[in-house]
Amino acid sequence: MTGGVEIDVDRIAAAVLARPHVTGLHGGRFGEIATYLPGRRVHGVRIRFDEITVGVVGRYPATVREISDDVRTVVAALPGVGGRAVHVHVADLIIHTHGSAEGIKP
Amino acid sequence: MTTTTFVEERGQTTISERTVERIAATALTEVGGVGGSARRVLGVAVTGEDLGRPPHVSAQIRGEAARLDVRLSVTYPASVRATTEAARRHLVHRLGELTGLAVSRVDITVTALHSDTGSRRRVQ
Repeated sequence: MTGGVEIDVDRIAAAVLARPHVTGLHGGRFGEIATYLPGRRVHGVRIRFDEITVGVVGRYPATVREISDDVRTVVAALPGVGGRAVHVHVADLIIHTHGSAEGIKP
Repeated sequence: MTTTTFVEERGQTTISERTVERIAATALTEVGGVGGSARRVLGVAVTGEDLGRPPHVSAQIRGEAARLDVRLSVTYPASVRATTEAARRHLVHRLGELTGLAVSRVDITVTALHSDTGSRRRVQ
């Protein structure tokens, strides 16, 4: 269930996906990080009354700290987010070695 | 099973075991003398012990520490003991650097010794 309908979930998803350390959104181990909208589901962003959770696939060799700080900063600045806590779950990483990618393709 | 690595005023950060496994497997490719390990299904090797593949790692996170189970091969004539100790040190260093997690234990199974002649024996 979501609270705070004034927050644009798609805008959060797009802003997070645009970050250089992020290669994709991730719904978490059980798909629990998601927002249900009429007729569709946004994967990787969950909005609650007092918190927002974002699940991401990072890009190696960014550190977990770099990824989470970056995501938190960009989400906190979006309209309607206000003082909500922004939780970041780093669910997977894409590793690029010798031009090949390993990991889950978003 | 994930861990909270740090809680800030602005929110908490969690890491999946999958993420830790990827970092660990990648870090092991940076250690000299370490090769990959055959993929096993029900205990039977289904791919050749292959130097070029990343080693296999499974991670368990408890609190703010990770415990790792590693399967890798060693390139002959590198010392198994020296190679596995170097691998442990490098895992602790890279996981600390990239995730902030401590490493409480690293169990290493050496699955093969490879001769470094460039020729590969293949399971027919």
